[in-house]
Amino acid sequence: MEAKIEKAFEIASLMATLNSQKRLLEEEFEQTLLYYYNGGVFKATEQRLAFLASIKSKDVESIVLLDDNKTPILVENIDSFFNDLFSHYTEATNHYYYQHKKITSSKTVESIIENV
Amino acid sequence: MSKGVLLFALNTELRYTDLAEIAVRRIKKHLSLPVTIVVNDEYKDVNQLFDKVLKIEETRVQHRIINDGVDSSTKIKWLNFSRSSAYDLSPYDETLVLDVDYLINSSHLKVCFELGKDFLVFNDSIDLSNTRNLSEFRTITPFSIRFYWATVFYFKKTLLNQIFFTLVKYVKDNWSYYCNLYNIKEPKFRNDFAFSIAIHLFFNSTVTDKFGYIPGKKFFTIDRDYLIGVNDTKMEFLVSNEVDTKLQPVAVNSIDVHVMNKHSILRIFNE
Repeated sequence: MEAKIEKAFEIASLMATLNSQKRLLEEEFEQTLLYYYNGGVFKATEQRLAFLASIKSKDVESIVLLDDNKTPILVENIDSFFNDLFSHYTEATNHYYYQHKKITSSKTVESIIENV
Repeated sequence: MSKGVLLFALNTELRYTDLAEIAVRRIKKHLSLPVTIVVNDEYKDVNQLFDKVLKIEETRVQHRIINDGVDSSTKIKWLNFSRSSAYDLSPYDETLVLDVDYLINSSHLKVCFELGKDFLVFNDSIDLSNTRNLSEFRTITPFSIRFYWATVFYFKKTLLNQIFFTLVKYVKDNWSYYCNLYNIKEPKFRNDFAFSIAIHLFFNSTVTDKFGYIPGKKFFTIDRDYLIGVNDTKMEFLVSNEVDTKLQPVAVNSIDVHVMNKHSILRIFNE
């Protein structure tokens, strides 16, 4: 019985560390999504990428976008802005995916911390 | 336009210059910027780490209790009245002011010099422990104005900022009045509060083409936590919680962290 309780506490500690680390990893990810262009801050969100993809087909070269602080920023070349933002997004999500996989597959508290 | 970092390291019982020597190495590695240190004693930059060493006289003294984790605390002198002179002291056109216990693990803050704003400060912060209620870092008092950290801020030498820093000094010089006005119970002068009040009065806490927020959040640990491991980009901590006395390990990689347990910084880097 005692061994079972010990195991339960061990798992509880592992889960607490894992949850805590997942929360920090998500915060890190949110920060890596930020893309800076022409003095503006643009978070590479799915919504923003979808909007840019839709206007790419409209045969316009430049557009004014509101950045994350609602500041209007002139984007001179939509194609190149979209490509940069998209590659920024994929880089951030790929990194997040591998880091997340690394820590969630860790079996001990020590290995979670080691894998960050 | 010259760019650089300004560190305040006014020694008391705690050797802030030792902390600054740790901080400057990481700043140079990740931000590649010259660093000026402001001191209050005959500091010799034997390792030539700093671009400039500025000596000031700090006559006003406060005391505060600082913790070294959950088991130890000491009352020490606190010389924190000179932060509002950053504008006059900085030799740079564009300056990033950092606390010596804000440890750089990434190039993230380089972006401050690219956003074209006159003044930048963090708008949000995140505690590395997820079990604590730290509402004191959201507003300066309950139901009051927004709290801004004076730990990290960026400014350009402009007329606007010259006036802003004059206002910060005015708040500092009339501290008991502003304590009453904003219902601040703790009479000790705090730069975070003075800057929060000045930002509220001057910039109306509204993002404009002059005033803005440093992108992302300021990650922090409090002085009841321990820094237990460090390399060039990664830091490991044992963080306390409010529920019980158990400490929990957490780690961050490529994220700058405000490590408030200064004793643990000195311990780890002097190992």
